[in-house]
Amino acid sequence: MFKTLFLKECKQILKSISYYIFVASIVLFFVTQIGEFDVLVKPQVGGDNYGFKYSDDEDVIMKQSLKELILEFDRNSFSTYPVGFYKEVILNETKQEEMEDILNILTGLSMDEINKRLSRYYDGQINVMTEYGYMMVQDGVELDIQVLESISYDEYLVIMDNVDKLIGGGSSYHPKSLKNIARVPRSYEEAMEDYNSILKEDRVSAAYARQFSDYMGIVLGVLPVFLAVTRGLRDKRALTAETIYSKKASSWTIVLTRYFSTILMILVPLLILSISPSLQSLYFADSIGVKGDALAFVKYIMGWLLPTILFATSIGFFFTELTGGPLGILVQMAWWIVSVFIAGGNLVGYVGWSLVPRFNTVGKYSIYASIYDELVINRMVYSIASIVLLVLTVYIYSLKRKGVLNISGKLLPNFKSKSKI
Amino acid sequence: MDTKIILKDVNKYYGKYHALKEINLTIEKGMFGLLGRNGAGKTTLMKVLATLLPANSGEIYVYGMPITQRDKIRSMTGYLPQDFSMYGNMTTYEAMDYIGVLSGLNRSKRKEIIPELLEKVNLQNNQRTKVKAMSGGMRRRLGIAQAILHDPKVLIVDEPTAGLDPEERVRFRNLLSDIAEDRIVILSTHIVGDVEATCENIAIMDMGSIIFKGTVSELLYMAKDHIYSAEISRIELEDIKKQYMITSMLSQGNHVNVRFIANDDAIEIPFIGAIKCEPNVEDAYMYLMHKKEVKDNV
Repeated sequence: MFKTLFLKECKQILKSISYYIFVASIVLFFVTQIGEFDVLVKPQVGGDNYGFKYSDDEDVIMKQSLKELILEFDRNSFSTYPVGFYKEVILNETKQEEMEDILNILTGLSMDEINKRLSRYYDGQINVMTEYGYMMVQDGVELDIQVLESISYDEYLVIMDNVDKLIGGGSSYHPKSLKNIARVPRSYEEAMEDYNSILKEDRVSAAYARQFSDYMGIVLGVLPVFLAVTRGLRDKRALTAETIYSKKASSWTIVLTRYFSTILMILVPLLILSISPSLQSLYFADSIGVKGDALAFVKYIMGWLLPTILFATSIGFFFTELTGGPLGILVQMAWWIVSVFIAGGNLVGYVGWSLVPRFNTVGKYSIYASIYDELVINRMVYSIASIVLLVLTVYIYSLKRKGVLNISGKLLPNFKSKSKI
Repeated sequence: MDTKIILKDVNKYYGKYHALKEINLTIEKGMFGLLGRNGAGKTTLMKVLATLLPANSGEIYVYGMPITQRDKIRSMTGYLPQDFSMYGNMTTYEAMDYIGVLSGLNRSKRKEIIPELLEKVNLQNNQRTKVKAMSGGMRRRLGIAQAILHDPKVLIVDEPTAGLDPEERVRFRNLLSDIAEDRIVILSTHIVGDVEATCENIAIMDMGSIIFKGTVSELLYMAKDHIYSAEISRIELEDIKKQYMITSMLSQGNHVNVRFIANDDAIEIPFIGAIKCEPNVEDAYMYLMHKKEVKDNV
């Protein structure tokens, strides 16, 4: 019964408009965000640019973040992500005065002196043509303002925490985000080390699969809930709930076939989408003499993306069964927003408790290796949470079949209006 | 083997509302009609029998099986809910096949029985018609077909004729009568004509209680000597309505033929021109409800 019902559920999904909207959305996201295959270039000795890395050096972190703070303060425009969304903060006069005091404590300089040095810094900028169009770039003159030597790194963190609060929170100056400002150029050796790890550790294709997982994780952190809610509400809308409740099939069979058919129908277009970058990465690996991992994308989809899909789908099924309405969408949207934006500017290697781990780059194997254990725990926790929600969904469904929960899906047990008797 | 449904002292509450009050019934093979006005508790009783609602107290046995054994009861029960439908994008055959899988039928059994049942409910030419394109009558017939797909011993049909046109209603009643030849069919309805045409045994519910159980003949006997008919002018109609409960009337020009219930204490003809007549089921049902109302008011 399970297999036949599973196939029938898949067929039902194939007939649903919401499924085609889902497929169109992920295809559109894939095309617009990942787009063309980004070919890896081997670093050359004497090259201009070997990319960037985040520095652990406390002096560098202090120097870079102070510079960023002074530049933002000069524009009176601070970039923040208080609840995940970008928000520009403009300080009022009182807060500007407070910020001036903080800058004075940090640098020992008056505002007049800071402004003079800023002018020299701006004068050193020239307008040049880049691949993105004309941009102002620095031509040798650095901003000559430092943190006072008498201020320790720990003291600096406390002061920056106050800066973050003064701005309203969610800024780059929060002690946990501060490191992300300290981007420094990589050396040739560092760039080569990264390049070699892509060849040896990732066998090229895994590096691309990680980037694919990063992008697709964003969209798969929210879209599956719509399919799940649509499936959950279909019985109610089609007035089939009572008919199905009265049949012999167990609640486990009914709910699990619906759930796993939804999961399969999400995975199918995802796997199809991964064929192109997978083949491109394998071809590219071959062209540089590396035997790529043919199953890298499948492994990353199953290991990295599947827990995200399971969780978003479980939330949809659980809340739809519990409430008889689309509450699951709101819950999942909230979870997704927090997960996507909690990473702030750290788009390479952010895991934490986010439903959508970030790794928005090809390569950086050392960072991947450093977050691997955290990532595995994260994925396992979401998988287990999905299973728990699924079991609860079956339990609620079986209660509704027995009439212990109101048949129309209200939370109040055994309550029914007189008019429906 | 016990081939009855037995209900003993069954009670059902929705919060404080007492929806089923001490229901005692024995239902045997054939058509059984459950009659009552809207809100009488019929649907609640149907859902309890279909294992979709638990009773708060009492015992129910279906073919000797306690109703608490839901899986077994569901295997031997077919249920057509009041507002039956299926997924709109399914064809008639697909809907039947889907329900067949949920009912535990294997592929060969489904292939064999679905065309037979669709023919039985006169949907053989609509196998590829989408559910969303079906008329109300077609959907009810599909509902019956899905309910008997697994050849249940008991068929529970809740208000199946509501909203159907007269022709569809007659066709539907006949269909139910055919099906009831070798099983128990419980027909819940507020339309007296449905019961009159098809059921020998009936129960009448009001406010959660069974106020009558027995045969149609017994119901008719109860109303014997209490039903009168008269041909009156339209002017007299309002007065008659105030004094008696009208069970039916038929306009004929300036005159109206009325059937009405005489007061219980009446020993003579209510008024000149009134003639005592044999009650039909509708008269008897109205008499019973009228009698209960009078008793409740006292």
